[in-house]
Amino acid sequence: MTQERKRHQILVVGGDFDLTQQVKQALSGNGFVVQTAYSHRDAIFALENEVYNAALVDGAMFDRISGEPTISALKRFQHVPMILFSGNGKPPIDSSPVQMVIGGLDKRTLANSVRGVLGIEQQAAQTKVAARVDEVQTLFALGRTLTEVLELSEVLNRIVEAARNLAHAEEGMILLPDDEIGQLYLRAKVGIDEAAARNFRIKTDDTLAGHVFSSGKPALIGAQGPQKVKTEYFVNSLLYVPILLKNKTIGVLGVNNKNTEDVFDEHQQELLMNLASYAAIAIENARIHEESLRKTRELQSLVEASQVVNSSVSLDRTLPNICEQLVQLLRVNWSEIYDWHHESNQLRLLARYQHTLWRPGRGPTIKLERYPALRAALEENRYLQVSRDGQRSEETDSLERGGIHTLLTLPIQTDKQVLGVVRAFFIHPPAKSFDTETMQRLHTLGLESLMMVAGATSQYASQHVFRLAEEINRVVEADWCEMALLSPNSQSLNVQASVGRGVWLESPRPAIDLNSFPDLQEAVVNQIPINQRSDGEKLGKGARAVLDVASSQILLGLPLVQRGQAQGLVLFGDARSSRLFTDREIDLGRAIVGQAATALENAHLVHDLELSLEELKDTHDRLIQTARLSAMGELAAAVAHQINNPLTTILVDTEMMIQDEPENSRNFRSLLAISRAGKRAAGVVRRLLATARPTEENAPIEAIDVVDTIEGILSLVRQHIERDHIKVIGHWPEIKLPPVYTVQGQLDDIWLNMLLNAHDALIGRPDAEVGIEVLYQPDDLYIDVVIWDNGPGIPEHIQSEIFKPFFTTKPVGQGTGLGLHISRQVVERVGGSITLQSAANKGTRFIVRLPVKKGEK
Amino acid sequence: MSHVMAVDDDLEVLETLGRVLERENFEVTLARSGSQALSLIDRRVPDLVILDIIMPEMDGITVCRRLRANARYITLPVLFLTAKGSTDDIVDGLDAGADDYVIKPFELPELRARVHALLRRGAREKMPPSNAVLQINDLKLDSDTYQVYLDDETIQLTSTEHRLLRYLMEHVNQALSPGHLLQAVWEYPPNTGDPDLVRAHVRNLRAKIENEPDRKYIRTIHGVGYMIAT
Repeated sequence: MTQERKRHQILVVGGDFDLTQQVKQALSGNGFVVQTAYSHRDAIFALENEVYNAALVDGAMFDRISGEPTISALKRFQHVPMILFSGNGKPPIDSSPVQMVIGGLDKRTLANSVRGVLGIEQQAAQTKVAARVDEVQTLFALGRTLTEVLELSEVLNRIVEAARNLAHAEEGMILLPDDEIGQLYLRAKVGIDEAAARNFRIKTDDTLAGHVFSSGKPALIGAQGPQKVKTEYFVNSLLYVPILLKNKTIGVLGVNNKNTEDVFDEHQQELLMNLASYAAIAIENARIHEESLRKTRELQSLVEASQVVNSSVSLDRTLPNICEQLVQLLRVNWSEIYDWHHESNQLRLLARYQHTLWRPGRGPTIKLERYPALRAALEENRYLQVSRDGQRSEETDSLERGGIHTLLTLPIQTDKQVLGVVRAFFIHPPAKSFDTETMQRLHTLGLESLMMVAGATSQYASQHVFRLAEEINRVVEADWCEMALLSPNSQSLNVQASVGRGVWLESPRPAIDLNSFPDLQEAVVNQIPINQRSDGEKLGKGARAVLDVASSQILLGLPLVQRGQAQGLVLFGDARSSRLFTDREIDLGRAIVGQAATALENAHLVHDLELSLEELKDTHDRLIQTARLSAMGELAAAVAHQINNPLTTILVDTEMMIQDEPENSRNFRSLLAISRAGKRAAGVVRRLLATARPTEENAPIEAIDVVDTIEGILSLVRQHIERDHIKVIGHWPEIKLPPVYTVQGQLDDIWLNMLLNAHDALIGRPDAEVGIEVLYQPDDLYIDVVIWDNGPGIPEHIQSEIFKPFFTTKPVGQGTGLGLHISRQVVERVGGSITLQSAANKGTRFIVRLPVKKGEK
Repeated sequence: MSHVMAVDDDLEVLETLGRVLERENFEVTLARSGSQALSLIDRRVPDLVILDIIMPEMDGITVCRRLRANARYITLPVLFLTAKGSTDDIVDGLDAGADDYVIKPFELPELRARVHALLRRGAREKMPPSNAVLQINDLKLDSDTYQVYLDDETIQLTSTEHRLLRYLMEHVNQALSPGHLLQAVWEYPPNTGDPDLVRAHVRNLRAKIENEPDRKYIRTIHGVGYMIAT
């Protein structure tokens, strides 16, 4: 709202050069533009050709030719008020045409006389009153709003703006002290260009502003004309007032003019002093408010962080939570927790949380010439999925180093032009496959986020990018994702954002070799924090490497300490800020890292506890199992006794009757049926006994010939199976096999069980076959026994169930559900395994692998 | 006509056994308990006893031990019947001196084969062996008394143990499979009988004659069978 002052053209006419200059000097700078005429004719010429608001004429001046007094000659310019002055004290010859005659040539007299003839004295007075009203109103309004505004930057900006307006100055500024380095720095400004502002730091001891700051007295410079003052730059005029709070200077409020010749006066100084006292209160209010906000936020963060950190004892949840809390607390982009592996002297990454949005061109660069598969995918606009299990390449190597299992890269296209890519990172094999729908959703999100990152600078935009990225992570179930823009020459990808989290509890884990980085080693071993800027002078090798990899500006490293012992390192970094961390932030970080150490230890303990519990549960299960089996065994024996006696009578007496009965009689077939039913019942009891036989604790381990056991069992069951029109095929090598060391009779039980199971599955099927084959080559470490059938197969969903105890598909009473369970226990006891291959309607193959001992005959 | 005694507490089974044996034209005596069986045998010794293991009051194993404790009954063939069919029962039974066992429910031909084999052997036992005393190294077997003499020790064998050891000694340096021994010693038809029977008897025999660490007479040839070497 600077008022354009009306400039008055004044002509000074005088024959004496020094005198004329004196008058000119005295008038200049008071809002007058002063021209001079040193001769009678010059004066007439000037007035004829230029418009002047007034003329000051030396009364002693004549036309050198005609002798006519100049003042008389100028009479005809009636519209120009004339002021007659006298340089030699003589009275003017003819004062009729002039409005004023002045004797003194002091500045004040001259100015007042000019103002007088121009009628601006009154005008000025009126303007002054109006200006005062304005000023008071400005101050009042400012004072009122300042009490409402609590945000410091806003407060300061308003004060500076008001200061400039009140003083009609070109530039306004507030300088606040930076106590650490003893300098004043530019905290708020108006009218000052960016480049000047960036380097604007003023020493407090020997400059003008410094003097104002240390003395608490205002400085007003400029009434004496242009001059260089110690302000680090040229000004025409300048006014600095101290911002005083309780008699202590807390800053400097200043205005200056660099271009205009206007000078500041004491009135403006008084205004600025008034404004400064408002400012002091407002700054203090804002500071207190900010302090309380910060404290509240810190407290809240601390409370939240502790809650989060301690809320979960599962490592894979605790770790990223800690990282996230640290990121929020210190308001950085990322945080990583490493544990220190003493033997290898490595820091191994446990967890990372990252919400980074780089300034354009400041993120990591992916050179496409190094990744041919990626380049091809971009050219063909198709997605690329690389897993570290794949064929070794530059791509898989980088996954291995980064502890990444799978990387999914999707080119993002708009108007047939590839804009960039979205890259989704998976630490473990992806849980779901990437169907068309998922990829489309990913493309939509990717496009939106790339558009955002391309122009994202505001806080809002970055939050939006983070939300989109989190959505991407959710959609593909990735651990984290990146957005990268394709460079204009299509030779590289420039990563713009990286968002997500990761936990590494198993190898491969990204690692930092401390032997190569003495600064990190020192930080861990001596438990001292790292606080570095990328442009810092004493930037260590390790800190530089970390900053480079993360494309970050600042790094804070806090040792992870448990009971006084260094356990690892927590790193934080930021890609945008370039300030160092304050002591207070480091303390806060330490507090949380301390909690993290405890939480980490708890989680480790719980993890171990869970393992022990699991083992205990296994043992418990086995004990229950044994108890049940033992009970089963006793029950089976009792049942067998109870059933086998009547069965003996049924079977034997029926057999005798069959022998006596003519084969064509009606009773003969009935008797055969009774016999068959009895034998079936006998089979069930036999199987019950075979499977539920309590394990003999101290049964001796003997060298058993596998083929002998198979022959024995085949001789026992062959007839039984063949009677149901099932072909039995046995096949084994001619050579003598090395023995298997196990308890006598246990292998027999396995064959019996599996053959009888196959028999049950095959009953009633055409061309049914069951086989038992022994596969062994000299020098093999195993004997494989394959029991196969061409039955209906075992449905896939129960394949994993069939070895569980008491699992049976047979009707009640026909199976105990223990056969395969016990078989597997027996085989595992000798160090072998049972595997199953089964396909619907093609049959089932059980492969029993038994280890043999070499050199045994 | 051979005289066969059947002992079982289960009346149904007992009578079935009676019918089976009568069809074979044996003279049959039935007993419903162990004590009844012992008193009947005291009065008249049968040619074969078929003995159920699980019986109230006195079980079959006790009955068998009592019989073997009496020199009169050392050669009396005993065939166990068991409804449990567990190895423990069988081992216990053979330890007690039984000659063979049959698991209930049995098939008629199986029982018939075992009974006839045991009766044949029993008849041969009663004749004096051609060569009463056999000796290989320090192991001496007297077939008159079913006793083994080792140093100063005298060890009493059951009839089946005696027959098994004698057969092994008669076929010195030959590895004999369980199947072969079942046919030769127990006189079973081919593919009848349980190799476990042979193993159990070998185990019992070893426990008696290889009772000192340095005594090793019967060698197990893995995958083949058993052998006594000179």
